[in-house]
Amino acid sequence: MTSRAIASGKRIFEVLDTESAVKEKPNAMVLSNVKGDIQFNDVNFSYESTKPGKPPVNILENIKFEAKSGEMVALLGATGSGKTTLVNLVPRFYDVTAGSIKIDDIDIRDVTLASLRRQIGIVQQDSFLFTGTIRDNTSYGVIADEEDIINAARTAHLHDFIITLSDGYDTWVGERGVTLSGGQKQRLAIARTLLIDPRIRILDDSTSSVDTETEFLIQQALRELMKGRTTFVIAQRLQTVKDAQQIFILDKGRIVEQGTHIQLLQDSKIYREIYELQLCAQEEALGVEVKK
Amino acid sequence: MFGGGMVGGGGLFGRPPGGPMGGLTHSSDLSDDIVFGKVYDQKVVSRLVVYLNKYEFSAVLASVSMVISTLTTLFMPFLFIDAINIVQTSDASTLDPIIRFLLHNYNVQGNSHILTLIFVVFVVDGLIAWGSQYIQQYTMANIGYGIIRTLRRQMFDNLQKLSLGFYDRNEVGRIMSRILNDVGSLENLLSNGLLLVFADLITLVGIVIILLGLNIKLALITMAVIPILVVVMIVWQKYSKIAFLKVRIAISIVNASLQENISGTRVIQSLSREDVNFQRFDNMNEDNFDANVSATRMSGGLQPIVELLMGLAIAIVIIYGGSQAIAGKLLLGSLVGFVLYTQRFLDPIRDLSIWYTELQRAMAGGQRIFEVVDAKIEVVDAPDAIELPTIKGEINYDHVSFEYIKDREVLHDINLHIKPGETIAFVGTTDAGKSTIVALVDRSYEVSKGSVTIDGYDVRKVTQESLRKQIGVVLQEPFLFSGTIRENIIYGREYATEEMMIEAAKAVGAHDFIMRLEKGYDTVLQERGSNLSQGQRQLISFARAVLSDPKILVLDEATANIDTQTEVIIQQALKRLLKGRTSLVIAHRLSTIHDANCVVVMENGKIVEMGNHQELIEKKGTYYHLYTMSYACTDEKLTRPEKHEAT
Repeated sequence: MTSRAIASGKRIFEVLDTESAVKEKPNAMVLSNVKGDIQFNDVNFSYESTKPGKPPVNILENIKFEAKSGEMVALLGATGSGKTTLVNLVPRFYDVTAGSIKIDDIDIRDVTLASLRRQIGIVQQDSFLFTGTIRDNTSYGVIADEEDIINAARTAHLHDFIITLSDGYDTWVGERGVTLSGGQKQRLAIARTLLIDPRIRILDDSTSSVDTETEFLIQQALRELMKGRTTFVIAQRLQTVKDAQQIFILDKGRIVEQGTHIQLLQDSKIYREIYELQLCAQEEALGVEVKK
Repeated sequence: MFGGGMVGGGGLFGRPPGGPMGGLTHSSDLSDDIVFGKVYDQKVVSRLVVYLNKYEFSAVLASVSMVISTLTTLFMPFLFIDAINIVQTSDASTLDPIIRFLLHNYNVQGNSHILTLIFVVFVVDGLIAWGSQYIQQYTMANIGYGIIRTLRRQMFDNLQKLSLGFYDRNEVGRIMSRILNDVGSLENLLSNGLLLVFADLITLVGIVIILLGLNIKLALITMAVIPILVVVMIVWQKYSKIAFLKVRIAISIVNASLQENISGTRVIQSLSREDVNFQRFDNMNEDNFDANVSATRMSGGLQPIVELLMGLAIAIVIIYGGSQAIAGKLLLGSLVGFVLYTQRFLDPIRDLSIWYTELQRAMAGGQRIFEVVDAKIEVVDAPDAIELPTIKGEINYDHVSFEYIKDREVLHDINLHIKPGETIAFVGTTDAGKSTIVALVDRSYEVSKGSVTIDGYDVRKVTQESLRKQIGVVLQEPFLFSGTIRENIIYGREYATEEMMIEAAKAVGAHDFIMRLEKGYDTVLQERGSNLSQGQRQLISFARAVLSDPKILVLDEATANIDTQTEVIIQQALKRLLKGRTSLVIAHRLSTIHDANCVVVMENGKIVEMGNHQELIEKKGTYYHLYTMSYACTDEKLTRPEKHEAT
């Protein structure tokens, strides 16, 4: 009994004493009303080495680019190339190990975490729902009017579905509530982000589990809302990324190719391969149709 | 699994509790974990008795040892009475009948010899008591855990056989709760509770008889406190049940909140909700604290009251019995005996009141367990089902309709003929019915109207085993089991040789990446293969399908999410996989759709268009609409590289 209690006590204090690697500076200021210019200055990132004596491996290396307010930046690359890590650095889920990230020329380490994250909306790969009603989940983090909530749900093409539920916006979701499909969850997360309307938006593979018709609708909605917002998009589908002002292809933590869709089609072998695999066939098929 | 087809179709939502087709009952609380039933539920008990039959000998042995151990324990204070009485009176007639019998038989005389005999009897009695207690507990554990094992086995067996419809109607969490919590509450009762209840009852009755035998008047006066004690216990039990229920609910809320907040950290941080969530958690934590404190107050409050009543009873014994003893009307030994037995009242009464609650939980648990054991398997082999002979792979849907819930058809009048070796691509929006239509081939669901035939055999007229052996199913999210890659590939085809396995892996292009892993085919997969990429997991499931070499293949293609390099490998693998088989593919890849012999376009549970890609494009119907929306650009004309260079 006693020895077990002592062991458990040790483990509890371990949790209590773990310090967050991301810390606010004592004199951190509040970031407000950003334009949304984002700069990555020679950013390196590595996770702490878990094996003592073994130097940490860089997950990101020499990432350098500038995204102007209102631009869309698309990230392409194989699994494990560092796309998600890169966007995770912007809201400071992790801190860079070298270099710096600036929003409107302010180093993100100089501002409070809450004020920084308030400017950023994230739609993740695996959308997470909290136990609560659909309304709670949509307005999670903000106080919002009924009308705003419905508008956000409409834009995310979720409203029509919600009203088919017997409790409508008061339907319970999450762990023990009604189960939503992957696409529905994602659209709910999109509605959440729309409601908050942040200046900077991160879409992590956000349309992958939505059927093609819904994806099309969501993309239209997003395109409308990207105006004046700086957006990072991680995607596998070229369809999603080809409108981006800047497309980066990542490989092993480095940006290996960059440019617009048209530039990359000309200059990048990798991009052309992806293109041929995904879009070319479709265009050809359509092309045949168009000729007739 | 195939349930995906109905999401958004309204099927999953708003279904009545229990459902029209054998859903599990819901408890009133949200958690579904804490339920109470009747103290004695004839149905549950009679079901359990059937299981007891198997343990006839053990059950008799346990009961006999229980009676022996209870009686021998009850007898012990008697020996104190005897010892004191013999010292006080030197009169052998004050002794109890058993000792008197022994004295007579062995002709023992003189106080010191009598005391020695009493000591010997005490030791023997003690040994018998402990021995029989050991046998009782051991055999009861055997029976109890044996029954629990059988129940778990039956639940598992039935859960595996239940058709997918059952899983559409009952969330995994609730089914798990049955297996974990309900079995747990029954386990407690079966492994030791049942007999202890009887032991307690025997003890109570025994004490009453002994007290009455010692001195009727004193016994009646002493037992005057019993009704008060019983009332106190019942009232306490009622409130403490509520208090402990609150404790259980409070801690489960705290745990759920912890789980949710830890798994949702990224969202919470990105929305800066830490403070609000902390406040919420703090409130829940406080509720838990309050619940525990008041429950402890409850149980703590009982002890003094009971002690007080017991003290009162003993005080009565001492005052009244003492005066009787002084007057010479009561032997000293009997007085001590009264005190000893009165103290023994407490335990059985307290135990019984606790078992009262346990019984309620166990009965409810039992009822819910039998719901799972009895859940009707909707898809069963016909009594005259035949073995499906080796098939060529011709499939025919003849006026097929299907409904998950009565009068809500998901498929309407489907007619489709598929020749052996053809690849059919099903296309349509999420709830068009694509998943459902392919799930009818291996009888994962049963048609509501019409028939599905394979090589002319109605799938309902052949055994499910012979049917499913010839049909391979590859799901969108391949389910990999914890084990090595080798075990995962040969899953279900354990007779496969090493060469066959490697050949299958090579056929789908999985061999190279497997060999690059440190341990090759012996690489142990983590939970659901999370140490592999999604594409690699798919390739393994393809290899599994190739190895089993089915004539008919049902494939739910994964949507996107795969990086380009893997995509190339998968497209090639798919070609190999589909070759030479009748394949039903829920298609998301354009390459698959292109290569299909026939594209079936579905909308609202109906086939709206059929033909190859080119024909359908030219038709400019639903397919054309879907296609242009999904794949083509709407806002600008795409510039192809060649054209670009040309301009």
